[in-house]
Amino acid sequence: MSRIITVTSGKGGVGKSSVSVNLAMALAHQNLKVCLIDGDFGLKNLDVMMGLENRVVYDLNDVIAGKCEIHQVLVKDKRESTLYLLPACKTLSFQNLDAKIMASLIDYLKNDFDFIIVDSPAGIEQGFTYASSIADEAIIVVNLDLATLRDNDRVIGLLLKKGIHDLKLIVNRVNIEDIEDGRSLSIDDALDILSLPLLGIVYDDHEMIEANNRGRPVYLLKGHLLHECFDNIAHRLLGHKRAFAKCKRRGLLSRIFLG
Amino acid sequence: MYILVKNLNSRLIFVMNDEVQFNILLDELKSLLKQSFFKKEDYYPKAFFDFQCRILKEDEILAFFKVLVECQSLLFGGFVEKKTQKEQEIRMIEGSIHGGEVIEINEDTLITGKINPGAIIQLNAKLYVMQGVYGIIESNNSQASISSQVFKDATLRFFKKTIHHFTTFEMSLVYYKDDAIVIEKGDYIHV
Repeated sequence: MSRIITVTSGKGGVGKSSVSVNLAMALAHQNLKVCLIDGDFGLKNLDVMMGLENRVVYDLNDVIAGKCEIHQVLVKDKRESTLYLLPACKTLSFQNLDAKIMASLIDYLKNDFDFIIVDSPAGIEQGFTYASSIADEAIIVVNLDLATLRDNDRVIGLLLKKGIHDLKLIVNRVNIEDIEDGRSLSIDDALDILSLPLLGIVYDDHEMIEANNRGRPVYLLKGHLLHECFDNIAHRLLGHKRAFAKCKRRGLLSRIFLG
Repeated sequence: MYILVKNLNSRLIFVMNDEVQFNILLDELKSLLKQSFFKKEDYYPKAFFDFQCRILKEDEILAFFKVLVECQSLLFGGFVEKKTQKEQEIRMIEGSIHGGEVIEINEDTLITGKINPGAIIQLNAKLYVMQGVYGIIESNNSQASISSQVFKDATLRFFKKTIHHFTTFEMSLVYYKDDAIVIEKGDYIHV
């Protein structure tokens, strides 16, 4: 039986999708069969971020309409053979979502995959409700700003009410300089406010922006700091102990000449 | 005198000293029951016996009843049970109350975590918060109170009185008295 994990955050733009894609990649790299579900119905973007847009043949609408089987809608990743994407569908909304078909879809996936990662849409409305209803665990993605942390405190309360008690935290876009200079909150502040176990830290890096635009997940950059971050997160999710990756502060000359 | 006799609701309670030797106690009981008060015809008051902390052995119980049978002055009602004080239970909520949650508290409660910003507590009893109050406390109950080591930008609302942005890092007890919100600070709070 698989582990179904929803990657969520009350606040939009914190990097849920980036984390979902790269975490799924990192898990698949461990030879685990992973299904990544784009839970942002109506605003699909995981296929773009993974560079699989042209490989999407069927979508959820086709499954609901009976035009294809469930296994036909899954898109196999071209780099990790055990990673599959269930893309969202722009014409589908939660209002016309057939609960029975979705339930049978999840049942099918549960028996076939080791991990099901659900990229939840932002907010705490229907999309969040749906994504959390099918999950057993949740990963809360936050940035180090007070608004995000306050919003996610609310999300934690809602998840606990839905019976999801296995909650973990990923702090995304961590900028060591901002923390040291007092511009942003620290990771300890986030842990103090949310009181969740820390699953991982992902540093702020321009490579992530480029990777998302090119459709080439940053996890594929072996040797890069962000590869190490996601690798560590995947290992911790599997129960292995891993030290947190360290980000070196840029030297004075580097900051002067490179900006 | 090692025996105290009380009249309670037309019943006699014999409070027996638990430090004196049992045979001395029995001798005193025998002489007491022979007094004229206990020798009225056709009147046998119901009597209960409180041996306090003394635990009677089997032969002592037999000797005790032998005295009662010999004197034939009372109706034996029973032994008074030792009263145990009912322990007040405190309900415990483990963890924090998250933003957006509204919790109603109707019994004395201990929260091991925090009351986060945006959380609302509707309070009708005593509340103890271990890690701090950052949210909203509302109460229309004069018996309600809240104690915590930390209050930060907390909103306290008792009846129609409100304190906004209440912040202190001293152990504090907050309650309502005489149409005002009272804040007591100190090293310890009586539970």
